[in-house]
Amino acid sequence: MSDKILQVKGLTQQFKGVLAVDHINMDLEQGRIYGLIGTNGAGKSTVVNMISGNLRPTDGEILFQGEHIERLDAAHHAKAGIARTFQNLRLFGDQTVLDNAITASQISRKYNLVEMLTYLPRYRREEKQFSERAYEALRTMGIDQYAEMQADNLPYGLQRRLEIARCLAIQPKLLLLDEPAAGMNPQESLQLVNDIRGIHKDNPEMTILLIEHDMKVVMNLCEYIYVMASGTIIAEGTPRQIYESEEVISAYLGGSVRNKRKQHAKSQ
Amino acid sequence: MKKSTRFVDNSLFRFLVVVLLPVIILLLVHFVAGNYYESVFILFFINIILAASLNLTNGITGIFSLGQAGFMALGAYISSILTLSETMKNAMVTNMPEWLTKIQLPFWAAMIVAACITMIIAGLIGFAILRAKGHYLAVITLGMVIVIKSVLDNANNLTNGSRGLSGMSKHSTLLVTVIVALLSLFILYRFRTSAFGRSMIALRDDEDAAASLGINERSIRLMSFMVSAFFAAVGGCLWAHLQRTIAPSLFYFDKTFNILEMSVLGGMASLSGAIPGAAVLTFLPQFLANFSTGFTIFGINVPQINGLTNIVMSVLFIVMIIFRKQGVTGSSEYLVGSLFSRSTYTGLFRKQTYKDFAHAFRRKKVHDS
Repeated sequence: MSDKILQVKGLTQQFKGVLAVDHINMDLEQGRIYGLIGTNGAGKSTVVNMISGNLRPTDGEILFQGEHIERLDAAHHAKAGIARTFQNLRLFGDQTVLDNAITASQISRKYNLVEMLTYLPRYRREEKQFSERAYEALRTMGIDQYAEMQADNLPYGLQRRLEIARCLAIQPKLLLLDEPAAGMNPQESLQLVNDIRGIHKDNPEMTILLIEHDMKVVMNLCEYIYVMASGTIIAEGTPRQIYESEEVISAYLGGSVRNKRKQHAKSQ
Repeated sequence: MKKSTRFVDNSLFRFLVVVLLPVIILLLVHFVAGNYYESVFILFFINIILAASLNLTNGITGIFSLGQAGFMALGAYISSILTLSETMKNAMVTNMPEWLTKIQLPFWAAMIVAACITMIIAGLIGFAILRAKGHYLAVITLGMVIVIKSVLDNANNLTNGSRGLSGMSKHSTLLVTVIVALLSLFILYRFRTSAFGRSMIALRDDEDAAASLGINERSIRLMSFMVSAFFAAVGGCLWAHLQRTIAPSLFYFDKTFNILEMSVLGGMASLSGAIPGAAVLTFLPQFLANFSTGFTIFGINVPQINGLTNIVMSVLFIVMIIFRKQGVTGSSEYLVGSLFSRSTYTGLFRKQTYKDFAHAFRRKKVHDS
């Protein structure tokens, strides 16, 4: 058994009267691609927000590499090695594409104010590293030729890529992708699948948790899938198991559909 | 990296416009024009420092602070108390603590000490108030100006109350002010281009995204607030040693909004914006003052208009807000960037620079004809 990178135990989030996430458990092993699927409002994004630290859980534990992080803020989560993208794009639109990536890669900053003001070697060396690492991330996502462009002026698909590149610039151990294929056409999402596979091949240590609507993307990529419905995990397993699971089909398509599918198969 | 081919990025052009032209103007002002013009220019450079310091919080970090006049007041008062001689202090202020009357520092030391103390005070205040955001923070900082003013008004044994302090020697010469302004812009520019500056901009654009990239919101905001207060105090110190007399009422809403106007007019989101902003708000009122007692235009006698300066400034401001909300410079760092980037100067030693310059010049002429 390989290392558990992330363990989620009894994670709960309550918004006033609404129980958005209800005692869910997840175990992510290092270096694999996981999927988290579910209908609208199932609580997928809430789970991601809690793992990334943007939202503090009401109850439950999050262990990252064996350490409790559920009470820390998002900045600490990022420094520990959890990077995330957002469902609706959250780029720094005024900045150039490169600066967006450098803002992420500077997470490893060690120089202090004095070194910055006096231009000491460590400042220069680290700044150089930041931009190198940022360029590398942009190259991985195939957008390095737009480095000097303003992020707002990129077409939508490339903005999505930039957001992933920004996460890669952190060099995370756990990458949370919140609906990366949202709003993409089939061609673009196919390319995205290839890119994510490429990232995984280049960084075999990196664990990826993919939150997605698009079943084609999830089934193609993920080795293990969690299915959420109304705040709880109703099924988990390999794509094959999920595809055949009764609960998932009824949650996704309504109860009677399975029968319809059988009828459909018979009639053919 | 891609090489820019824009004419305005030509090293020679940048050198001529951003370095040589200002130097020539300053030399002319110093040697040819009179004392009056010199003091207007000194005021201009002080205003650059104040506006640039405000831009760091308001435009770059997204902390909308209206407290600049308060920090300016602290800088002015602390530095004045430190530079005034013992006899002067005894003559003006009753019951000043004895150890304080004994202290007399040289101007530069007083400036740095005043700025550091102000920065520490700003740190304490910021620690408490920076958890508020947006309009709430703006109102709180405005309240801070009121608090600082009433402290200065009532701390009779330190500040001589509402009568204020006077008799500081005029240390803010043109040379001193230019040097301090350049240093301030340089340090602020270093901030902006470093990891700290990028974090500030990230926080301004999107707090959640910034946090998810490991940017510690509280410390970056506090840092921005403190650095801004530091330079506001430097500006206040220079101002006190230009005016040579200060009173609490000079550092009130008028001053705060005056600085804010510079910052907005010039362009909040860049340090460069401080330069056009300060230029307009310094020179235009002085220019308009000539007409305030009535003037003749095309043979028509215009009588005295009360508040002519205010009318013109507000119209200008409204027009600016409607047609160019981002200010003169927007987020472009062309002016300050050119001033401090090495390529402006190293480019002068390259033949290609002159070739490009000449080429652009010739092509322009062809277009004209």
